[in-house]
Amino acid sequence: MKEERILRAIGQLDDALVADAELKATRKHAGRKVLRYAVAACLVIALLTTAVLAAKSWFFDGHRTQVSESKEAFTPSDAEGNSSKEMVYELTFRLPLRETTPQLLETYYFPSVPAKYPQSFGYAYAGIECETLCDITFFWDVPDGAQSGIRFTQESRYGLEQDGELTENELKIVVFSSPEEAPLTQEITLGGVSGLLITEPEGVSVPRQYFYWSDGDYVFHMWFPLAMTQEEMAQMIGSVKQVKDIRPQLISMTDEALKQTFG
Amino acid sequence: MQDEKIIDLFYRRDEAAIPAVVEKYGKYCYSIALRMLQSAEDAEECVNETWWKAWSAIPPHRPKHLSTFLGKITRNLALDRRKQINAQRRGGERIVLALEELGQCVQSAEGAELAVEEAELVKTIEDFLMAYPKRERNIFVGRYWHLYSISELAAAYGMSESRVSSLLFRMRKKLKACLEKEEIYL
Repeated sequence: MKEERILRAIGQLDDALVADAELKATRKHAGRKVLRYAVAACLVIALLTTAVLAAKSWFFDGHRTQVSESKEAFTPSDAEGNSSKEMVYELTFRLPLRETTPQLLETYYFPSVPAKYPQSFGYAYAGIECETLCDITFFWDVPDGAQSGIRFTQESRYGLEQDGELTENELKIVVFSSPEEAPLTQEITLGGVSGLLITEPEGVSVPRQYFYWSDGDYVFHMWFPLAMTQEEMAQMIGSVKQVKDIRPQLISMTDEALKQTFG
Repeated sequence: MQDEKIIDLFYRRDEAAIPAVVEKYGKYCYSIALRMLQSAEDAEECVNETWWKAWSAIPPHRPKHLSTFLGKITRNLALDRRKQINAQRRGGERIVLALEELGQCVQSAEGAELAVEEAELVKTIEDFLMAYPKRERNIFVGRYWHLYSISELAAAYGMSESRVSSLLFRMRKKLKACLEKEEIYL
């Protein structure tokens, strides 16, 4: 059997390789290890649950006044080298991966956030495939008002930097001054969808497009895998309702996702 | 007893070497055989034969890693034993799965006339593995040498099971490409 030949060949690997791969955990310590993990898991779950409940309350109710209370996470700088502090907040959950995840691309929704942008539309494109981590990221950011573009990179998922030359593994977001200049804008309604962002497993490349729009008060974002057609994306964007109409659904979506993650 | 002292017993042809090696590595070799054969009776026979083969091999061989040396003997014996056993009746699920997975790496020999020497195949697989970081390498070797289950590997490395599966899937694909590149047909 051919695969047996490979199995036998693997059996002849160098001793050092084999010894390195041997699992050292013993049965007699397994019980204590399990107990340690259980206690740690309970603590983490309790902390995250508390944080999520607080974030939910913050996000859906009176979040304007709470922006200044959010965690200060980074300091982007504009083209002139001026820096300003922005507020971000992030919760991360891990989802199990699937081998076929690259083929099961999903639509991602960013939460709606307070914005300093004037009314504008834009889109982003991925010239290069980008790799991300497998997390559910529940986060929002406050753009710094850059008019020429915003950049998301692998290293700064919520980092905002000034427009510049597109380099590998970066997404460039282009801002347009009017809806007519941006593709598919005729389908965009001034509303948004808030919810959880589900990203891809580490090491998996997922090409995508990103749309955002602002009504002057809020910025809304949507991600689409490049595998979707323009018609499919237009249909998705066109189906977005006003936030206030779908808020109850979003709350239950959040609860459902948390339930699936934590059981 | 330290490995060096046990090996010295083998070299002196002192029969105390056998109980010493059984005490230190009996469970280890038994677990390897059991994972491959899923039968306590067959696993025990493999392990007993391992000590006889080790007695025959040492000297002249002086293994650097006694555990791995013994594990390899047990592994090969278990593979031979498995050939003689009905794997479907006794289970042998782990090795069936391992073989099925590794079947993905095998390039069809249609139109190819090359047969590869065992040493060349081993060297190619070693070179392939050494290109990976230690963790990925250990997971692959853990799966296909030690025949650990996906859940055991996931627990040991603090990863989800699906992430381990995904990693192994990608490595098998790359191993297949590597074997094709080296024009290795089995």
